[in-house]
Amino acid sequence: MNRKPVVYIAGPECFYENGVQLAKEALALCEKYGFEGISPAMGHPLGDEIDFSKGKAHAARQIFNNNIRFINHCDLVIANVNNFRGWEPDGGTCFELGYAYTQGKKLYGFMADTRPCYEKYIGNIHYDAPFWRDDNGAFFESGACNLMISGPAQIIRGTFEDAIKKAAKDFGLQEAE
Amino acid sequence: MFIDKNGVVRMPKAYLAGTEIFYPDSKETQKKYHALCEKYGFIGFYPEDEAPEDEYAEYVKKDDSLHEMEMQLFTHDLNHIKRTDIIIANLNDYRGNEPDSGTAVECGLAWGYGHRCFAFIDDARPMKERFKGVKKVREDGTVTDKDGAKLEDFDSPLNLMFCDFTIFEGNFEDALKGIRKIFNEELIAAGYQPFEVK
Repeated sequence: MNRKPVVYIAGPECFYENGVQLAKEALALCEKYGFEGISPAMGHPLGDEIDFSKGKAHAARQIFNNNIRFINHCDLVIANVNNFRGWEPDGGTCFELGYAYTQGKKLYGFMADTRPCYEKYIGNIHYDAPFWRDDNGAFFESGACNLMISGPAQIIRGTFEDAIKKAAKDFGLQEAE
Repeated sequence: MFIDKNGVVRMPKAYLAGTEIFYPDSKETQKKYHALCEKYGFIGFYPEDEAPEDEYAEYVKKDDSLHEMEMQLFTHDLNHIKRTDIIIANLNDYRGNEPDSGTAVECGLAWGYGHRCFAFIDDARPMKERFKGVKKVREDGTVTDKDGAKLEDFDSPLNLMFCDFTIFEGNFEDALKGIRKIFNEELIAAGYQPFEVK
């Protein structure tokens, strides 16, 4: 195999006004560390052009199909698993991690704060041995995120660049000059 | 009863994904969900159910580290997903405005193994309408959350990665009723007797 390992860039960045800029930066970092990147926020030859004239459900399905195709093509996923709109990461990103696992892809998740969930949570918590619980009675897992992520994925503290640096090391790649 | 991928009529095995396991009454929920599954013609696999003796081996921990414990629990749930035919996921907002991440990962796992995917949610209106947080509007009319992140506008209550899920508005029993209706219609269309809910 002579091609560069391919990274699928997963995360909620695409929802922000500067989403395309963030995608470009992540793609440049992939290049810098010896990978090829695919971002669902950018057009890619493997993806279909999204046709919004056939209704919203059709467009959603096309984007979904493109993302699945991109994941199939990649060797690893680097996912932004920071909290999104509350105390959980983006649901679409988590779905992608689960799917990628079934296809045998290597998984990385990065987050700015890797302390246990109950330490990061802002809100009332109660100790009910051996767990901390929130005001609704739901317990917190002991890790930095849900174990369905931190089981199969390597969790890296920091940014996309910190995660891709670690991945480059794992894949035996050299940083470009 | 349902018609499986090979055309065989048998009881559907359902993985029951959701945040119910985090609450102090999880054991009661487990019993309640099993009883409901039986009523509507499903074999339920609640995450905390013990692994039956089959080809899916449980993870053997190397040590008592957190990651080894996580791998053991991950593999336990993963195996439940592998041994089932469908997933029924509680995709209600959890600690904010997104579904529980563990449940969302399980949805991706189940879809990846080719399972039929179903979910339930209290409020199934499109995300833009049901969103409980503070909304803002960009100059171009795009509706966002308070941090400027766009609320998806695909007429779905959930992120578009869940577009292959049949979503039922209501609770777990509402989902079972809805799936039973779909499976019974498929059975009747193929000339079989529907499952009779007592």
